[in-house]
Parts: sequence; structure tokens; C-alpha cells
Amino acid sequence: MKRKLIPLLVANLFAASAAVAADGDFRLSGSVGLGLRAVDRSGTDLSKLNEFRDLKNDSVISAIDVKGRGGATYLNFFGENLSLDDQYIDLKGGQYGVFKYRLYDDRLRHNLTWDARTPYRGVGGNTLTAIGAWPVTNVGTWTRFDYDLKREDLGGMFEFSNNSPWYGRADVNRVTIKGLRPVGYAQGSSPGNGYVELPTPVDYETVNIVLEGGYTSKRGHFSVALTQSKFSNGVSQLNWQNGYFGGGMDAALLPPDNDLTKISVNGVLRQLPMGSTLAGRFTHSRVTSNFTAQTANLNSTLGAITTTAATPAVFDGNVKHTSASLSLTSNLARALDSRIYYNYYDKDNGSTRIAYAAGVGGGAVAALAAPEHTQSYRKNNLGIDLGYRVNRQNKLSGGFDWADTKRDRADYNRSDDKKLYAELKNSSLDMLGVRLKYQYLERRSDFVEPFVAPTDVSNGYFLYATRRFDVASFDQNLLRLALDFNPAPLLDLGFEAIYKENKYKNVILGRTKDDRQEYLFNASYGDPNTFRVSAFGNLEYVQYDTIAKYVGQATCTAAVSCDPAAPAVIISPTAAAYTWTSKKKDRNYQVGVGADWPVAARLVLKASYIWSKTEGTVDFTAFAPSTAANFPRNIIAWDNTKRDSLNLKAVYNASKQWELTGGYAYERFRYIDDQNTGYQYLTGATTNAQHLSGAYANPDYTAHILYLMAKYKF
Amino acid sequence: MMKMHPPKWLAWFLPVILLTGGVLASPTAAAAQPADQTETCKQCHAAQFDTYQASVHGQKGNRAGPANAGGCNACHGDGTAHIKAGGGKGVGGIINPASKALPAEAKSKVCLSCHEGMSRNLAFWDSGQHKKNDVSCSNCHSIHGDNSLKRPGPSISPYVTTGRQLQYETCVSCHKDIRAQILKPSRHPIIEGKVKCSSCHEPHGALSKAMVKSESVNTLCTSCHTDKRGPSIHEHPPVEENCLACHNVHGSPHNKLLAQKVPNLCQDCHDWTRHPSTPYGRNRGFPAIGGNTGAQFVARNCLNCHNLIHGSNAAPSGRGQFFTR
Repeated sequence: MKRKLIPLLVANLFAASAAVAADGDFRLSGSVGLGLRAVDRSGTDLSKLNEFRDLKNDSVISAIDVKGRGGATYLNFFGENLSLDDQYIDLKGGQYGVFKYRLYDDRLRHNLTWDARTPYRGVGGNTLTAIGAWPVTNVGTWTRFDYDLKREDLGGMFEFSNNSPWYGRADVNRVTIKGLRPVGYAQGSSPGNGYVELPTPVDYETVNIVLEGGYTSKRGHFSVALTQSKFSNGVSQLNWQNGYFGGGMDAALLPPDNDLTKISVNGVLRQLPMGSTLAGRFTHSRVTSNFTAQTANLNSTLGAITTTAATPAVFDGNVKHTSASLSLTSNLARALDSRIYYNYYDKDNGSTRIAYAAGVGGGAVAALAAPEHTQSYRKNNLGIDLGYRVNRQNKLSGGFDWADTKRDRADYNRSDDKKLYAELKNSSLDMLGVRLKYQYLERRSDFVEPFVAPTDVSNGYFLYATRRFDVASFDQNLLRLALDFNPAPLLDLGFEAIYKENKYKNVILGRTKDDRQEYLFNASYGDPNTFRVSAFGNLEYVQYDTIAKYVGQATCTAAVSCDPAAPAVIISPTAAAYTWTSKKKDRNYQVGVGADWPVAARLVLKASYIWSKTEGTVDFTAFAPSTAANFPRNIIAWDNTKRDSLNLKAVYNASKQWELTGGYAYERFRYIDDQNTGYQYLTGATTNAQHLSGAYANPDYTAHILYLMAKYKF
Repeated sequence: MMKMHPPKWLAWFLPVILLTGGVLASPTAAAAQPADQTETCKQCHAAQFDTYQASVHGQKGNRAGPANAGGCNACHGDGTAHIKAGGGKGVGGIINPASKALPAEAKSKVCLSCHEGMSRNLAFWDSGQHKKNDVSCSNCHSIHGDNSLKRPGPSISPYVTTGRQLQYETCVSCHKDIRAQILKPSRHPIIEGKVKCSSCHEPHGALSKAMVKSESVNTLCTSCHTDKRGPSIHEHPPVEENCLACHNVHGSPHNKLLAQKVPNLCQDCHDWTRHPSTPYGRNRGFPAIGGNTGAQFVARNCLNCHNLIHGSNAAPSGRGQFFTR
């Protein structure tokens, strides 16, 4: 790819240079900045501080901003954080109405966890070998490494229209992601066999090419675009020594290569009767991925391999997506607007269905029949929006949306969604704007009952009873109120409240209800030319309610029933089978305040502070004796975080040419979570011990950031 | 010698293209342009003139731009009466497209009078949510400002390493609930400027729900997350239909932008004997909090073993159907 991309970019630059050279009035202006940034940081794992920014070292910081303007041509160049992990370079230019181009290089390092540990050697490669006998009990000897993903998006665009309604455009980019990410792998065939968290190599490359051509005028628009996107993974398999399976070499398959080809056709017709506009889109794409199906795996504590013959031997992945959309917007009367729309979407999964024979050698593995259906679905969606402007100050809107989804899925094969909404906008009072919206959504899905009678005591009862929330029937109510208040000149106040509730229908087991409340405040005061302060505050409450059935043995029986109603009617619920419910609550808070203060003609001070907090809890109710195995204790810290971010900045224009920017930032992040409190890298002393790597466990940090940059303007 | 044949589809495709040009071609504009009064306007509105002249609008080489279509008059209307009356807000019928007094549609009409015919990004403006909700061009764009996008107040943000003006600051001035989401611990790098709102949404109008830039949520997500495009031998049904079943894409307190923390999210669908149906309470944590270290609770819970929930290609001996390899 590099070989093709570079000549393209160079040719692009030459075209631009030639045009610029022909433009006699071309003038450059801009700035070049150079400075230093010092960071005082503390914390066990500083990856969260550096999650999407490079603050790992004291560093030289830079920024270049160049604008070129000619009578007919223009050029914008911007570069910052040169040589750092978050480097950004962007060059845009062209000749007005004739052509334009862009070249860019955007880098990012997504730091996930630093100073992680693993009982393996070979980190970064595709083969991990245990550093000692299993379990590797001396954690101090484990290999240290960082989980991070280095991403680079390098690309360009060229568009040519030559002052005509016709245009042609080409976009090319290459995205690479390289690094390590934490992936957990079961060691054996049961949860009791333990697991390991492994540094899994990522070596992804995606090359995208889009060619587009079309015609645009006031009467309408028509375009055709062809997309080719190729994903390739430099490491297709991670081999690792499985301590539970006799120290044999296990294999984890990593994402295989895939190809996407797509055609999109867009069209718009304007200036139709009744001020109508007809818009349409058609897309068809195909994703393919072909590889030989895996047939052998490590599958025994003796380190033996199990072979499971696959039929057919080669997986031919082939998914087609087809969509069509039509939208007609009209002004039916002077104050009445309408939009009628139709959307069609079809996902046709024609991939090979592979059947596996029973395992031979090693541990016992049952045959696995080819799935009757792979995941395909088809959706038809029709709707209408109406807007009636009662007068200048009042507008009423309403609409209806209907969607019918048919899918190849064992539990629900069809959903019917009906959505109604009404909205009022009022600005009768000069100082107050009000927006009130109510929406009701009703989803009714056809539940496909398995061959299990409600009185059955077998495990199959779970299939009969479980309603999966992503497709289950529910009623949704949504209420939204927004107020914009300007009680005095230069003073803006805002308030917004959102309430959304989903109540799931006919749930025996599964999510019964979820709701979300959001309250958002904002205020601004002042004149941007003298002093302006803004503030916001957010409160969010989210709750999910679920009912589940615990059965502590492999097979349900009459005595240990899978029926969730059973324990409730038994005078003394059993410890081995009981129904339990959970209420998961997230409470999120944020307060932010910021000010811009031009203290003097040459000096501007900027300040901002954000305090944010997230709190999660889970409350359980178990219909079981409190002595029952696994009787749950409420969770009191569930991704609880606190973050303070202070940002102070001063910009001083020393002269027409020189600008000095200095700043101080303070950040503090704290994390408490019941899953990670008292974190242990190794749990257990036998071959089924868990070997964890520390991923995401200790993200607390405190940082003081000081920076100074001198900018020369020309 | 090898004969070159054009592809067959070209035979019907070319006429379609040519026909399109004929249907969509705009009649030649015959309307008289008002005289360019820019030099007069400049005498009172020097600051606005400077920004105009520095912008794409003020370039004579921009043949379709206001500089060749009446200058200030192209957007503000004929200023003759305004000038004659000695100026003043709205005096002489002068149009201010940023004025609160002007309805949103009328404001946008000023811009669309040129841009509708030249900017394909505005092709679906009429079908979009912004037009429907009375959002005009000047709500987001600052025609005479230093930057093309408006930012209504001081920047309130954690320290970021970019000096660019970031698009999200314009968007969240209306979409306040989204600002709350993108500041959460798990998020896309939006406040760092590495992902823009317009990376996923087309603010100028689209036919898709929420004006996303793709025909479905999944095709949008997998345009960046290409490793999750599949197809896989073992598929996870909700993954195949809607990424939003599990992920809150604008932000979440939970890792990986998950709507709920694992195991809660998984257990809302998966109930079965033994470990899937076990209630995982605090008593299953590490010994430090009095737990008996439930292997399925600590660290990343279900994902400690079932990490390939987006799809697996492993054989049954590798428990691919359970997404563990």
C-alpha cells in the first residue's frame, strides 16, 4: 500500500504547487510555535492519564499553522505534537471551484494499562511460553509490559470539479493499529479450570479507497461512490502454553482478514411541486472472509490434541448488505411541513455453515451441527413527520414511525415497532424558549417457543423463560423538556430534563425494566470581548432491573427446578435453586465552569474546572436461605470514579509577531470497584489458578502539567 | 493484438449519467445581481469586511463566491436603502442572517441560495433533523468569525494536547446530554480531537436515523472497527444486528463503552444452570473485601473467558461456540 500511496500523495502535491505557482497574489501567513511541557505524575498505572494523549514524558511541544491565500488558490497546513504519540499533520488546499486536496497523518496511542504482568515470555510475538512451572507463583518474576494500541491514519483526498456541476473525487487512507491488548482465555473446558489474561498482539491494517463521482445543482444531486476496504491482520493466531492442559501449546485465533466492497448511489430532486424535495439512497455491500476452518485444539490435561473434522473444510464468509431509502419533504401548506420516508435494509448472511464431527483424541468433544441459520435480517421502516407552525412563536410537531424486522434467530424471529411522538416549541416570551417532547414506542416481538412445556423441569425451561432484551417486546415512554432562558442581557440559562423508561413484556427471566433520568443545567454570563463565564451541571440516574434463576447443578430436576416460580411457592426455598433479582444503578454527576477574561489588550486568561463522579451499585434480592451457596451481597462500588480537571491558561501577545502561551493543569482520577479491590495477579495454587495481568485494575493518577509555548506569527 | 472492450454495464450506465445531468441541470441564472457596494459597507463595518476578505467568500478567484456576486449584497441583500438611511440594525431592509428576528428557514435560505447548488454535503439538508428542528447555518457557522464554527462560550474541558478548535464544542452547545456522555471515563477520543462528531454524523442532513453517515449502525461502527466486520463461523446474534444493544457509543462509566458492567449486561440475556445463573455479589470479590474470589466475578468477569463475544472461528474443541477462543 505504501508504494501506491506515496506516489499518489506526491502527484497531488505537485498539482497543488503548480496551481499555487500560477497564482501571483498568493500570500502566506500563520504561526510557528515551540515550547516545553513538564508533567509531574504519580500513580501505579499512568495509562489512564495518557489514554488518548502523550503525557508520559516531559517534552518539546510544537504547533505550525500556515494559511496561504491567493486570488484563486488556497492552502492550509496545520501540524502539532510533532514526533509525539498524538502527532497530527493536515494539509488542505486547492483552487476555488476547480480542485481541492487533502493530505493528513493522524496518530494516536490508546494506552490501556501500563506495567502489566504476565507469567509468559515472548510478549509482543505470536508465541507465549510460560516462564516456569504452572502455576507460576512468584509474581515478582513475571514479565512486565504495557498494553497499548498505536494507531496511525495516513491518507489523502483529491477532488476535481473545474467550476462545473460535475465532480470526481478519490479518497485513500491506510489505518494501522499495532500493539497489545488484554484478552482473557479459558484454560480448560469449564470455568473451574481457570483462565489466563494474555498480552494479545494487534497488527491490523485497513486500506480504504473510495471513488466518487456526481453532479450537483440547485435542482438536485446525483452521485455514485465505490468503496473498497481491505482489513488484514499481521498475526492470525496466538500460540500460548496452557498450564492447565498439561503445558501443551494452545492456539487462539485472532481476527482474520476481510474485504468490503460497496456501491452507494445518492440522488436528490428539488424544486418539485409544493416545495417538495425527493431524496433517495441505495447501497449494496459485500463483506467476505475466507479461511480454512480450525480442526484441532489442545483439549486435555495430558496435553493431548482433539481433532474435530469440519465440513466443509473452508469457511467462505460472505455477507451482503442492501439498503434503500426514500424521503419526500414538502410544504403541504404555508405553515405545514411534512416528511414521508421509507427505509429498507437487508442483511443476507450467505456464509458457509460448518458442521463439526465429534472430537477424536484428547478430551471428549461432542459433534456440533451446522447452525440452521446464520444471522440475517430484513427491515422495512416507514414513517411520517409533520410540523405545523401555529404562529411565529409556536410550532407543533408530530410523527409516526413503523418498523418491521424479520430475522433468522432462534428466540425472536420478528419484531414490529410502532413509534409516536408529539413536540411543542414555544417562544411566546422573548426571554424564554420551551421545547416539550413526548414519545411512545411499542415493540412487539414474536417469541418462538422452544420445544419445552412450561411444566418441564429440564434446562430447556431456561429457553422457554428467557426474554432477551435486545429484541424482546417492550413499551417505551420518553419525555424531554428543554428550557432556554435569557432573563437579562448577556445572561443565558438552560435546563433540560430527559426521562426514558423501557418496560419489557412477558418477562419470566431477563431484564424487566430500565429507565434513565437526566437533568442538565447550563449558564453563561458576560460579553466575550470583556469577560465571559459559563457553567454546566449534569445529573444522570440509570437503572436496570433483572430477574434470574439460579440452579446450582448441571441438570434441572423436579426437586431442583428451573422454573423461576418454583422457589417462590416453596415454603423453604432451596439453596441449590432459587430465583433472584438485581437492581443495577448508575449515578453520574458532572459540574463544569469556565471563563475567558481578556485582562488587557494583550493578555487573555482562560480557566476551566470540571468535577465528575460516577457511582454504581447492585442491589440483590435472593429468594433463598441466606446460607445458600453464592447468596449475593450487594455491590457497593461498581466502576466508581472521581475526576477533577483544572485547566488554567494565559495568552500574551508580546508583539505583532510574538505570542506567549503558558498554562497549568491539574488532574486527579480515582477509581474504586468491587471487581478489582484487593486485586491479585494470581489466585489459586493449582494448575487451574487464574493468572491475571493487571488490566484496567489500578488507573488512579494525579498529575500536574505545566507548559509554555512561544509562537512566532508571520 | 488484444482487443479492449468497455464493460457491459457502461452501456446503460453512461446514458443514466447523461440523463441525470439533463434533469438536474439548473436553468441559467438570469436574475440581476445587485451592484457591489462592499467598499461602502466597509466604511462602517470594517471588522466584518476584514474577516470577509480573508475568507473564501472574499476571494475574487472563487468564481461562484460572493466576491463575484455582489459582495456584501450577496448575503445581506441590496444595501441601497440601508446606506441611504445612514445604516442601523435592519434599517432599509438589510438582512442579517445571524439575527434572532429572522426565522431559521430564512437564515438558511441565504446560505443555500449559493451552497445548495454547489455543495453536495447539503444534498440531504431537506431530509435532515437540523432543518426540521429549526437549526440554521448560522447556529453553527460563524461567517465573520475567526473560525468557521461557533463556540458560544469559554471552553470547558480537561487539558488536551491539541490547539485546534474542536468541533464537538459547537455541537454540545445544543446537545447537552452528549457533552455529559463524552466526558465519562469510557469514551471515544472526542475531546482530544481524534474523533469528531462528523466522523459518525452528517450534520448537514442524512437519510439515516440520527443522521449517521452510514446505512446502519453496524456498518458505521465497523467502518473503523474493521476487525469486527466478520463474518465469523460462530456469531453472537445481538452483535450482528445492533452494536447499540450493548454499547453506549457516546460514553459510559463502564469499560468498552458498555451500557452496563459485565456480568450484569450478559446476565440480562444469559441464564442457565450453574455459572451463568449465579448471582455475582460482592462476596465473590478478592479476599481483601471478604470475598471467596469467584473466578467469574473478579477482574473482567464473563470476559475473563468469553472474550470473543463479537464472533469466534474456533472449533468446538476450542469452544468457539462459547466465544472463548
